[in-house]
Amino acid sequence: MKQQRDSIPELVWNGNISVEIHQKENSLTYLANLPRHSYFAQILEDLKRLFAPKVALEECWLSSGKASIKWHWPVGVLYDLLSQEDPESATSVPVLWHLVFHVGSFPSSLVVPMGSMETFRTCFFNALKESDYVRNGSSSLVIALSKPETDTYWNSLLNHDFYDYRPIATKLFTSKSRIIPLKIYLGADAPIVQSSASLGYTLGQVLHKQLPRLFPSAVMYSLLKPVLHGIVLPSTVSTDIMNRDFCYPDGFLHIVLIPIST
Amino acid sequence: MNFRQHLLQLIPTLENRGISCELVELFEPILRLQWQIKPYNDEKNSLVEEESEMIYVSPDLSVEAWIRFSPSYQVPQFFFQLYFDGCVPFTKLEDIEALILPENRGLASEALAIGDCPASNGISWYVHPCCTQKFFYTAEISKQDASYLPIWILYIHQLLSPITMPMIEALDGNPS
Repeated sequence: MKQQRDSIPELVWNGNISVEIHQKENSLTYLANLPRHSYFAQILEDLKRLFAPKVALEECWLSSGKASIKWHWPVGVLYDLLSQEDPESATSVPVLWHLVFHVGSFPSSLVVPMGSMETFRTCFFNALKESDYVRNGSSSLVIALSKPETDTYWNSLLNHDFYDYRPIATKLFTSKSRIIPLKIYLGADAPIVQSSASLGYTLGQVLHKQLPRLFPSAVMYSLLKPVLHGIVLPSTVSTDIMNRDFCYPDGFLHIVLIPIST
Repeated sequence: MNFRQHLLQLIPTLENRGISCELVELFEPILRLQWQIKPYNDEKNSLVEEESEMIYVSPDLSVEAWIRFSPSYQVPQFFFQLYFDGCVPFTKLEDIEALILPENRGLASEALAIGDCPASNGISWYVHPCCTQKFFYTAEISKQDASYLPIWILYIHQLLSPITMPMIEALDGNPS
């Protein structure tokens, strides 16, 4: 399938966050531009090799301020949620997200220990099957992927390859279904609101229906506004466009709600 | 009968058995449960040494559980976390399996996963809803049936016995 260069999906795919990771009392620093749709699980081995090569991977974890980083949530979702940065009032200063690498005192009530990349792969494909189930009433599309397709999809995530990723994502996310799976994030200390929306509506209508106390109007945001891939989405954007262009690789639309600046 | 009503119907039955119940309604009804049990152990390490003054008794296992209706899979979903000391939860599947009857461990290992807890920002173990769906296909229970949740709890107990024994005792009408 020929992809148009600089299409919205490709621009979204190429969105990234600059991170600086250090360990206390260690002079080494890890610097990288991480794709917003990627996961910290993908760099945990590299961080361990740099900071604590003799330690088991499952003892390693990251923090941002007081928050423990959930390696099974996309990087972009974590940044939007934990920074609470308002994209509409962003300054021209580039973002550099500071994180700390830890060994020991693992926050086991908040973070799943990552024994290996297989743990991450299982987690990712469980989420993908779940999003397929929400869309289609069964996980059959994901299960029906051939082994080469499954491996290509997984490797496209690991290798940040849009042209391998997009055809399979399109096959999975734009079937005949008219339902799209949502995860809505209200704050770092709050549970995820897991829901779904129908195609043919606007984002404002969806939020007003799902969270009427937080979105009393389907047209105007008054208390909170939705951030997806670091962009405040207008209330008029259609769920069709969101499904086509803004899904994360696990098939969900991950929407972070931030307070409206007064 | 909606799911919230099913949960409300269950609460007095569970509380009679000494299970702490709290209906949390943030954006969906979730029933939070807590109880303690003596853990199962293959080696029966709860023993008294008559020759010695040393006595070892296995500590109680604290169970925290949540029941919600999966918005994705449209079936009841059971989340749980286990603690020996009230603070550090179990994070390894093999540690959970060691507390389950040997004949159920195979089923449990296929059905259990760990992920985001629906009632907090933490993580917990859960019985995968795909497996629950297979159960309901064969059980042919209507969501309107008053025994919808009790029968589902029997299924959960098949996987997690004896951790969930207090729930079964509650349904059998055995007080604590």
